[in-house]
Parts: sequence; C-alpha cells; structure tokens
Amino acid sequence: MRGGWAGRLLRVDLTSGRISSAPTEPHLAYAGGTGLAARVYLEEVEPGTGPFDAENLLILMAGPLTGTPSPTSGRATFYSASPAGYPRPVCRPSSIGGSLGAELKYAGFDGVVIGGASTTPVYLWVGDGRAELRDAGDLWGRDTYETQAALLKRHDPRAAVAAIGPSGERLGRLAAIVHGTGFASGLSGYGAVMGSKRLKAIGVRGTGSVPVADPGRLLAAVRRATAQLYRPEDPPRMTGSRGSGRAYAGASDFVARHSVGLLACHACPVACQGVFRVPGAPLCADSCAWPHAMAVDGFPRGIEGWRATWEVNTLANRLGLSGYEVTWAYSFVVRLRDAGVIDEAGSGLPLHGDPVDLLRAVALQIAAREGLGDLLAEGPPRAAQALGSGAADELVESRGWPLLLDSDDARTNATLALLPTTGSYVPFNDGWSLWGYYAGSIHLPMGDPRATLSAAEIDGVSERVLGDARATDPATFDGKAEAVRRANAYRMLADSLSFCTWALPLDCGFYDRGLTGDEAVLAELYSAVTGAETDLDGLLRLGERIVTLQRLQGLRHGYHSAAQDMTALDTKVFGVANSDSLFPGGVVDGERLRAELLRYYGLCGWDTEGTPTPATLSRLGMEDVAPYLPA
Amino acid sequence: MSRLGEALNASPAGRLVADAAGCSDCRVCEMVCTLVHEGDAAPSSARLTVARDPFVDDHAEVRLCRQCADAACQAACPSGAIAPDPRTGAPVVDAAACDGCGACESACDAGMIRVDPRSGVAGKCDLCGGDPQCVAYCPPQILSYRDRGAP
Repeated sequence: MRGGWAGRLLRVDLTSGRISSAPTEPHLAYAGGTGLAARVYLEEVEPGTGPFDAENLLILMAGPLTGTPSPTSGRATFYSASPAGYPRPVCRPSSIGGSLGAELKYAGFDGVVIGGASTTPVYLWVGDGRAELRDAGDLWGRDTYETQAALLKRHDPRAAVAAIGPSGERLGRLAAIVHGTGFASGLSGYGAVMGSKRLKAIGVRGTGSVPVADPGRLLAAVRRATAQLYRPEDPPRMTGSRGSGRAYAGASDFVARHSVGLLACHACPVACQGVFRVPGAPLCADSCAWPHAMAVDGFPRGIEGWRATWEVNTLANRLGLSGYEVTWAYSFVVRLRDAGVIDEAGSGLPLHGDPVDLLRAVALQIAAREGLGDLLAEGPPRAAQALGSGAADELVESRGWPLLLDSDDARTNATLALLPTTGSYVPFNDGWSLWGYYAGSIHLPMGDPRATLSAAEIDGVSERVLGDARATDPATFDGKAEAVRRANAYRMLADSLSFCTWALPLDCGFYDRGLTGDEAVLAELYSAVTGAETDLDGLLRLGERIVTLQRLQGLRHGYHSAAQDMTALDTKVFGVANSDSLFPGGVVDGERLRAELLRYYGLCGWDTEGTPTPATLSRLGMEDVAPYLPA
Repeated sequence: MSRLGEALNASPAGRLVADAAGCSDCRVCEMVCTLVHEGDAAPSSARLTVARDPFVDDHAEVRLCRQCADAACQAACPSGAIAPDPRTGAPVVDAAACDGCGACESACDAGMIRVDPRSGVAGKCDLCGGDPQCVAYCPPQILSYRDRGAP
C-alpha cells in the first residue's frame, strides 16, 4: 500500500447491523473522495434505485492526502443518489470540511460505505479500527448541535461528529449533514438519505497516523502551496469576500463588529470561516452567508442584512438544513407571493410582515414540514410543479439546483452557461484561478484590486493555460469547451484527492503578479505523500478519468443524455441582459450553446449522445468500467 | 555541574508561546511536529496540542510544553534519560536511554510529556533543537519561539 492511504474501507449494512471492512486497494486508479466513491457506487448500485431506497448507498470518502498538512486537503466527500436532483435524482459528490475526513484516516479508514436501512434510529461510532452501531432513540428529534454535543460528551471531546437534524429525519430534500457549527455536506439532500436509513449521526475518533512516503519533500511542497493560498497579513476572507455588488454591502462591517475568530478546515491555511458572537444568538461559525435573501427587494441590506442572514443560517445549521437553499427557497416564496400564487392563509407564512421573520419562518416550516414548508422541503422545483399556477415561472434552476443570479452568472458569462449542461455539479466560480479572476475572486476582500485583472492580463493567462485568449472571454462561446473541460477535470480532481474546490487550480495565484500560479505543486504534494510519482498532466488525466466515470454513472442511472444536457440550462436565462454585471450583455444563444456542448463531448472523447467511446475508456486506462457502458 | 551548565540553568530555556486568539484550529502544527520527528502525520503523537469545543469556544486552546527549569519530568526519570539540550536549555529525551517507564508522564502536571504507544519511548517538545518547525509552518503565525534567556 502506498503512502497517504489508510488501506481499509469500512462497510456498514444498516439492515442487518453487520459491520465489516475491505481493502481500499482495488480502485486506487480513481484516487479517493469522489473518484473512489463513484467507482464503488457504479459497481454496487443498480439503475432505478431511488435515493430513499435501502439499496441506495451513502458513501463517505476521504482522499489520499487527507490527514496530511497538504493545504486544504482535510476535506471528505459524501456520495450517493441525491434526492435534490430534478426531475430525477443525480449521483453526485457533496464535500464536507472540518475534521471528519482527517479523523477517519487517523481511525484507520479511507472511507465508509453505508447501505441498508435501520428500523430504529441509530448512530455510527468509529474509533481506531473499530466501529459500532448504537441506539439513537434519545437523539432523534434533536438538532445537529445538541446531537453532536451529546456524542462528544458521551465518547470523546476530540471526536468529529456529523449529524442530521429534524429536516433530514423528515426526508426534506434540502437537508444537510452538519459537522461542527458550520461545516456541512449541503446542496444534495444527503441529510435526508441519512434520515431514510434512520442514521442520526456518524462520530469518528482516530489516534493513529497517515503514512507519508517522503516527509521532507512534503514539507517543502506544503510551503510552496501555502504561499499560493495565504498570507498572514491579509484581512479575513470570509463572508462577503466575493464582492458582487449590492447584496454584499455591509459584509465587512458585520465581520468587524461580530467576528471573534477564524476557523479552518483541517490542514487549511485560508480559514474562510468566521466565528461570530452576536448578542442573543448562540456561537456560530460561518463561511458564507448566502446572498439570495439580500438580493430580494425589501430584505434588509448592509450590516442588518448580514446579521439576519447569519442568524437564519445558524438556525438552518441546527435544523440540519442547507442555509444556501433556505435562502433560495425564501426568494422563491417572495416571488410566489408577488405573483399571487400563494397567500398567507394557504401557506401559513407571514408573507407581508418583516422579511427576516419570513426567512426564519421558511426555515422552520421546511424543517417541520408544516404549511407551505411541506412542499418546499421537496425542493423548489418539485414545489413549483405541485403548486402549478405558473409557480415554475418564478424559478431559475438547473437539474434541481439554483442558478445563482448575481453580478456574474449564466446570463452573461458563457462559461457559467455551458458548465451546468455538462455536469451535475453546481457551477460556482473558483478562487485562486482564472475562473475566479474575471468576476472578482471569491476569497479576496471586496474591493481588493487583486480581485480583478485587466482584460489584457486575463487574456495572457487564458492563452497560457488554455491556449486560447478567448477561452475566458465571458461574452463568447468560443473556446468554452476547452475551458469547461479543464474546470470539470479540476473539480473532480479536487473532490477526489481531496482538496477544497475553492483552492484549485492554482493557475494564477493572488500574490504572483507574474500570474504564473503554481499548478505543479499539486502533483508534488501527491507524489510526496503517496510515493506514486506523477506530474500535472498525470493529475489532469486522473481528473478526466473521474469526469468520465461520473458520465458513465449519469448514463447508467438515467440523468445524463444529450437531450437532458441540452435542456439543463433554464431557457429563462437565454438572451437576458444583467445590468449588475461587468459584462452586461445577454450572451446565451440556444444554438450556439448546443454546438459548444457537442464540441465538449468531442474533446472528452464522447459520441454525439455524450457516451464515452470504448477507445476513450482505453485511452484513459478505464477498461474496468467498460461493462457499465450503455448497450 | 559545570559552570556553563549552571549558567544555562540560571536563564530560562527557549520555549514556544502561542497567541491562541488567532488560532484557526487547522492543526498543521500537530502534523508538522510528527512529520519532522516520526516521519508521518500523527497528531496524537504531537508534542503540542490544539483543542477546541466547537459549541463553546471562540478559538482553540494551544497546549505547549513550558520547558520548565528544574523540570519535574527530568527529576522523575529513573534512567537519567532527560537532560537540557545545550542549544536551547529545553529538557529533551534521549530515546536510547529511555525505557518507557512513564514516570515522567505522571510527574508532568501539564501533560506535555508522554510515552508514545508506537515507539514505547517518552516524547516531549524538543524545540527541534532551536528551530521549531511548528512555528515555521503555522499558517496564521500565532506560534513563536522565545530564545533562551528571553523573558
């Protein structure tokens, strides 16, 4: 076994209560995290399996670098069939930070594969090579903070616990798995998958070690990578740092007034979470209070808006809800109200009172599945379908996920228009990279001049990285297939090794006005830890392999096809301008989008249906998954 | 004891200090500590500890060896395996002389020396001989090294 890996996967069958372990070894060609989880899922879950079926697997997987000081490597990935997918479930990764992945590695496991369903509430306790299922009858119904605190007290104060709250117990499709005060696996409804299995929490404590092939080389690479990500003299990079116009005003005032500390995921130098103390509210850590609510007319902005958003985000964390999606549901409710689709009597919501009260009520209703919240808990797209009366007109989504409309989005940026058609992941921008730069990098303080490059600088980096200066020009689809192919490979790579997707690709660092970045250091970290020598091309091939694996998963489980991809971008964004954008012109043209998507298939080695060809599987060394190609 | 030894003992040993309010709980220090000493990432064997209750604490607590003069661990060691490092003044363990009896562990009221179950030998912060690597790698730079003799 190579360095980095713990070497064992824990297997838990909740139906029989049987716990076993198996070697990680067979599938290392797909790395850890998303890649390894997707490979296990592809082999073991039959098409037609629903998210809430006992046969569905919920997989928690760390990466080979998790547990080492490789910057941002402390993450792990939950993988399953996501009940949030619309019109049908989507198999996707949902990454989680904190120390859950690292503790798992120190406990001797690379991942946990959970199948079956318990008849009574249980929790999984993992400690140093052992695991057991224990009764969670006393925890069922309690919020995620209470549940975690109880298990920390019962087992070990240094453990990492991930828990679901009332929303997951009631199978709400916006339910998250919450760890600590603000780390979460959200945007996938995996809290509901845990709820369907009557699994209340996963607690892990490990006192072992992660082997490193070349410690000296790793330490040198850590120094190199950290220099790309972080300087101690910089101001905090948390809430509001993405700087996208009116919704973000007041963020820095809120941070200055209420932040009492910074909080990092394991091994991350950036520490993007702020720990806040607000009078009358419990301690909470938070990375990003989401802008959906403040983008709504009438919602308070500035420091008041941030305080309110933060408070409801804390509430959502406790209820086991994705705060991001709660604010999305709130903006949907306001639109439904204004369109006359819902009223106070029918919804049970204070539609015409204080907007913050309404946001809070939406979160509580969704968790309790009361009033309109019972429908909203199914996710806004399913709620719209059930409501009828033009409710769907008030929603902009892709495969069930919100298309975040702010200063830089699919309306005016061709990359962000093409991304959702190609994959099942949410198309955010990434920081530390070319992608982040043209909109203002997400991790730089608002107004920081480094957040925006000149057009000439962007062209230069684009030419170097993608071989085409137009590839990052938001106003044209030219070169976007190449740009998106690279973005997708990097995202899968990040979720598999596991790095933070906000940190990669390191292709033009903040502190490097030569704009060269240091992508090669990623391969250096991987080689030093695992002892398996690779270079950047090798890592990008690994990323491409996992993109292809995910494609096979999508074809097998019926959520990817050329027809579905072509309609994955909501036509409501076609040809629409955005005065908040640096690039105000509406860019999306259906025919041009379709042509670029087909070009993307071609670059990936897929046919016009988006099916990887046997030759492509062979080129990528993926003969092992050839049996899963569609007939 | 030599006159040089007496002079060294009279001045405080080098030691680590932490500005814990700025600690982000990233645990890089713990991992770097064991990478340097043991060659793997093993926070439970680290010679310093970062601890935070996420539901109570604003920031982590950073537990460091105080590098005591007249160190209790040194006095308790029946094998004479603990002696000041002439470079730093810090009491350090001679692994070859340690028999892992654990007397030092019982003697230290700060819990900063312990017999590592993997090696069977006592381990404590040795300040990396005067160039502590936890300090060098702490991202927010909240750890610092006070040279010997510094107040």
